[in-house]
Amino acid sequence: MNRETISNALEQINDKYIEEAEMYRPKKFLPGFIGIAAAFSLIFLTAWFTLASSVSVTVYAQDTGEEITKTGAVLHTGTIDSSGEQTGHPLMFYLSGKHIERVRFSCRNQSIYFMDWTEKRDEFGSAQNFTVEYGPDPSEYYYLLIDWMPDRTLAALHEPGASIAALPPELREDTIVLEITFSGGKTITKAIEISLLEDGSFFASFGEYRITDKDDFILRPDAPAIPREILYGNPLS
Amino acid sequence: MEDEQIIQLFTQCSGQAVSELSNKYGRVCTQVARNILSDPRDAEECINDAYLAVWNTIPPQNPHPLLSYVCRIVRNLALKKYHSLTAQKRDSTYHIALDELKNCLSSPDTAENLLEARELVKGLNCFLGTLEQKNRIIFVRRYWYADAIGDIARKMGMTRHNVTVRLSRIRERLKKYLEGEGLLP
Repeated sequence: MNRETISNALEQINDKYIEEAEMYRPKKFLPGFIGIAAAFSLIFLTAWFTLASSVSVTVYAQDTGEEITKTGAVLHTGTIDSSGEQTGHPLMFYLSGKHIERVRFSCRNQSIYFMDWTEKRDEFGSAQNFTVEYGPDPSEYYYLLIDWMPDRTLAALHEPGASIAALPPELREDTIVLEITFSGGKTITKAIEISLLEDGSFFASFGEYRITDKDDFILRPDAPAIPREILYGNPLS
Repeated sequence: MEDEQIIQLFTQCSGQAVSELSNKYGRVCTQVARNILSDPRDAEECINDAYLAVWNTIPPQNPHPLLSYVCRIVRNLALKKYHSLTAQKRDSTYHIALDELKNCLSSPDTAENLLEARELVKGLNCFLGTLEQKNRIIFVRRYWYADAIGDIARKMGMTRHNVTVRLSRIRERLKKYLEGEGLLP
């Protein structure tokens, strides 16, 4: 493939992508007096919260940056239609927090795909259970993405006569359990609960989770690491 | 000024039309042209030709969005100039960026392996639709706007290293996607 072919193809990129790339602005801090007042408030609140929240973790949806809360909300990152066609990523998320040593992810019904954009950690391909070593640098957590992949649901919807309303519960709902270990040794267990709504959108919430005897999916062994040369097809330079 | 108002000025053949267009989109047009043409004088000439083209085509054209319409004209003119300057040293950001993609998508240029251009266009747009917003923006800024890595990093609030890592991963994904669609051998 020569430069001319590539150049000609690039020329016809959709207008909306050209405009999106020019109009995008990363989030900024508030300017002026509002910013100064907010900054002072933040300093006091941060000092107070540091003690209380040294073991807290929040989850954000990739792309929109929307926090997935305990209350939950409809996600705006991807949908599925009744014919089994998926748009976007229904749930791709990253964690935010401090002193996270490792997180063990367990997905009840579907599979999850971990991607490390810093290329420092093991990856596992599409799997249901694996442990990610987060490490001491919280700024890297943003680049550790987990993509929830409802492949079983998509396959079921490809069957003739299938519809979202007729899917069994295990194909409309899922749980991703996070067993989080902090550097001081403390552990907490949380979970993301996902539901496929009848209109093809997804509802997700993030909160405390208590592992019970019925949670066999958590007892599955961790998936082995897969070398990047195999996952991505080319040796890294 | 809103795009609709600028288009209205062109429709009315107002002398204010080009200055308003320049006020709103002059910076991005300059960037697109400079990323392809090393010489600022060539870039300025290209932009002036683009404004003339907009003047001559609106009406009947009623472009929406106006940004991409103008930028496409600038980019096309800049590329024409770029290719005509055979003696020009090929070190523009555009050339370097294009080489990144060419190396990633390399395949023997046999008759059997030549990709139908329209199929590649379709594949490329579909691929962009699968990307997360930030990654898509990084890709478009690098390979359409031909921004330098440092400029992309600054615009996106990232480090240069992160941008290069992401671009590398996106190119790998693009290759896999095109292979999966049967658009690459």
